Amino acid sequence: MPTLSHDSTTEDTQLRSEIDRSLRHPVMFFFTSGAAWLAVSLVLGIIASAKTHSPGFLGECSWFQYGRSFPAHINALVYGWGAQAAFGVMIWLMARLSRQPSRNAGTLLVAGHIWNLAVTLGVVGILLGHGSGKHWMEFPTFVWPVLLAAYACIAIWVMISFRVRRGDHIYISQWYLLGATLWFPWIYLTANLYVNVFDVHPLMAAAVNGWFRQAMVFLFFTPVAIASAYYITAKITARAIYNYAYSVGGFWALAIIAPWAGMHVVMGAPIPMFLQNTGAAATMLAAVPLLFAGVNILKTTSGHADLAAHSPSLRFTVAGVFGMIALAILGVILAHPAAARYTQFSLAGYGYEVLALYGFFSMCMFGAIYFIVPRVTRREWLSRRLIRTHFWFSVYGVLLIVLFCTLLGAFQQGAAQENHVQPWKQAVNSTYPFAVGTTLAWCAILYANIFFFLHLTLMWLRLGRRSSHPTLLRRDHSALGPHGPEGDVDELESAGA
Amino acid sequence: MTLKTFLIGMLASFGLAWMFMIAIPVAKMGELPPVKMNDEEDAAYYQRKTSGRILNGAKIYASNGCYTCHSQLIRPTYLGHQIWRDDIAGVVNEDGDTRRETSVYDYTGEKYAQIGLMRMGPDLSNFGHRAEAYAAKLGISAEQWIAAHLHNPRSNELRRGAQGEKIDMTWSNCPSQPQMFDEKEPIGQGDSLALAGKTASGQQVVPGEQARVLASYLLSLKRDDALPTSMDYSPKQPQESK
Repeated sequence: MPTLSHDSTTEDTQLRSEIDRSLRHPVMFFFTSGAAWLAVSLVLGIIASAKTHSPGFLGECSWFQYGRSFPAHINALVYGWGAQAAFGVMIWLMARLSRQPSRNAGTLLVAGHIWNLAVTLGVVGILLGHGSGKHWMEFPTFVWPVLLAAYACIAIWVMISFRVRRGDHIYISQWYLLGATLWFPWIYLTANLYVNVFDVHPLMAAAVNGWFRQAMVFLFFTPVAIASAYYITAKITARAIYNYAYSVGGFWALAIIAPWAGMHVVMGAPIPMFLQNTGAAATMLAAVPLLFAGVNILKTTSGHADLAAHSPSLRFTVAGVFGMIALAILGVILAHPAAARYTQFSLAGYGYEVLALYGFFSMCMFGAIYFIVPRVTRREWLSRRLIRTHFWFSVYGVLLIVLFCTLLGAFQQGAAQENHVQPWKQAVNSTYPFAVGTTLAWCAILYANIFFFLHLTLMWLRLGRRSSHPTLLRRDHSALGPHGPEGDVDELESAGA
Repeated sequence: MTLKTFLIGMLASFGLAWMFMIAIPVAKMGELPPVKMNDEEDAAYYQRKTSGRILNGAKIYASNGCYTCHSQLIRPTYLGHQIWRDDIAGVVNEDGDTRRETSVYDYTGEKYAQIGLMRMGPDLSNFGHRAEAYAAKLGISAEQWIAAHLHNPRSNELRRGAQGEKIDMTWSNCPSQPQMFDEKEPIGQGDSLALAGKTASGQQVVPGEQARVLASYLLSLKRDDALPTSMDYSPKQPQESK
C-alpha cells in the first residue's frame, strides 16, 4: 500500500484524522451497539444451549423456551452484532481507502438507530412468540422492510464515498466492500420476497431460505471480513499485499461460485436434484476463493510473527483468517452429499454457522475494531489484559463449539439417528456431553465479550489512554513499552497541526 | 478494473445464479402438472387430501420454534435409514405397509415447508399416526394426548409399551408449553380436552386456542398416503403395495 504510516506527510495525517473525526459517532455507535447485541445474543445462546441438556433451566418461562431463545440468539447475532460490526467497518474503511471524509454522519446515525430499533422489535417479537419460523429470517415479517430501508441509507453513503474517491488506485478491500454493499440488498430482498411475499411452493420457500443463509455468509460477512483482513495485515505489516492479482482472482472466484451455494440444506427434499447438488458443489467449491484470500493474507504477514503476537488487530485478524480456512475445509466436509445423512439434521449446521459468524467473521471484525477505535476516538485501549482475555476466551470458546458441534457431536448424533434399530433416546443421549460442553464454551465467549463491550464503551466515552503509544500485547514495562511515557502527544499535534 | 466492468461482472455472476437457482426453479415448481395414479388410460389424478387447521397450526408450530428440533422430511434411502425407523415414515401393520419418502405434494396447504434444522426430537412427518397409536393405548383421544404432551413432554403417564407398562420419558429435552394452557373452573362434565387431574384449587387445565390449533395441525401430519406409481420410491415390496 502506498500510504504507509512511516512516510506519510502532514497533509496525509491531517486528512486521515479528518476522516476519522467525521465518522467517529456513527462508527462508534455501530461498534458499541453491535457489541451490546453480541452480549445479548450470547446470553440467549447460553440459555438455548442449556435448554438442550437441561430443559428445566429457567423454569417454564415461555419467553426463553428453546424454540424461541435459539432463533432469537441467531438473529441477534446476525443482525444485531454481525451486520452492525460490518456497517461500522464498511463506512470507515471505505472512507479511509477513498480518502474522503464523510459529510453524512447524521444520516448514518439515524439509520443506525432505526436498525437497532428494528432488531429490538424483532428479537422481542421472537421471544414473545411472533417469530416467522424461517431460519435467519425469524423476525416478525414487518421488520424486514424496515431493516432494508435502514440498510439503504447506510449503503448509499458507502457507494458515494467510493464514487468521490481521490487517487486512481483502487484497493482490493474496496472491491470486496463494494461487493458486499451490492450483494446484501439483492440477497435480502430476494429471500424475503420469495419466502414472505410471493406465493411460492412451500418446499421452494424452504430452499430459498437455505440459499439465503449461505449467501449471507459467503456474500456479505465473508467479503467484509476479507476486506478488513487485507487492510489490517497490509497496514500493520507495512507491506503491500502478497499478490494483488490473486486477490482480484479470489474476489471473482467468490462472486462466481458463492451465489450457487446453499440449497444443499434441503438435500433429500423433493425439489429438483440439480438444486441440491449444485448447492452442495458450490458450497464445497467456495473453499477455493476462501483459501485464495487466506493464503494471500497469511503470506503478507509471513515473517512477522512478532507483529501478530503484539498487535491486537493483527492477532485477531490472523485468528479470523485461520477461522476462514477452517470454514473452507469444514464446508467441504459438511456439504459433501456423502456426509449429509449424518450432518444434515444434526448440530453440524449450527457449528458451521458459529464458525462462520464468530470464528471467522467476528474475529476479523474484532481485529478491525481494535485498529479503528483508537483512531476515531484518538485514545488508546486501556488494558492489555482485557484484550488478551478477549482473545483467548474467544479462541478457545469458538474452537470448542466448532469441535463439539460440527465434528464430535454432529457425527455421533448423526450416527445414532442412523442406527434405526435403536430407540430415539440413544440419539438424544449421544449429544448430551457435547451440549453441556457447548454451553460452557458459550459462557467463556460471553465472559470475553462482556469485557469487550465495557472496554469499547469506555473508549466511546473517550476515557481511553491519552498517549501516542498504541496498546500492544507486550509483557515488558520499559519506557519504550506500551505504558511508556504518557502524555497528550496525539498524532495530529505531533504533526504540528 | 473499472467500476463499469465491476458492475457488469457482479450482475452477470450473481444474476446467472439467481436465474437458475431461484427465479426459474421457483416458477417451475409453482406450476406442477397433475399426476395420474398409474399408467392406465382412465386412472384418477393424484390429489393430496389434508384436514385440520393446517395454516393456523403451522403458524404456532413456526413461532414456537418446533422446527428447530423436529424435522418434517423423510429422505430417500441414499440419504440415510430413517425410512426404516419404526413409525417414522409410515405405518406397518397387518393391513400393509405405507412407508414412503416425502413427496412434493406433502406440504399442501402450508406456506413454508418446515423441513427442520436438527433432529433433537424425532421426525414429525407421520406424527398424526403415532399420536393416535399412543392415545389408543391410554384410551383417550389423539387431541387429548397431544395436549397432554404439549403441556408436559416429560410425563411418564403418556406412553405405554406393548404390555401396557409405562415408558420412561423423563430424558426428553422437549420444551413444555404451559403458556398455551388456561386454568378454568370445571363446568358440567368439563372440557373434553382438559388434562387429567386438577390443580390444587380445583381448577381444570384446559388447552387454549394455540394448543388446539397446534394439535389439529400435528394430527394432520400423516404423510403416507398412496402416491402415483411414477412418484413412489418406497422401500416396501411390490406385492405388498395396494
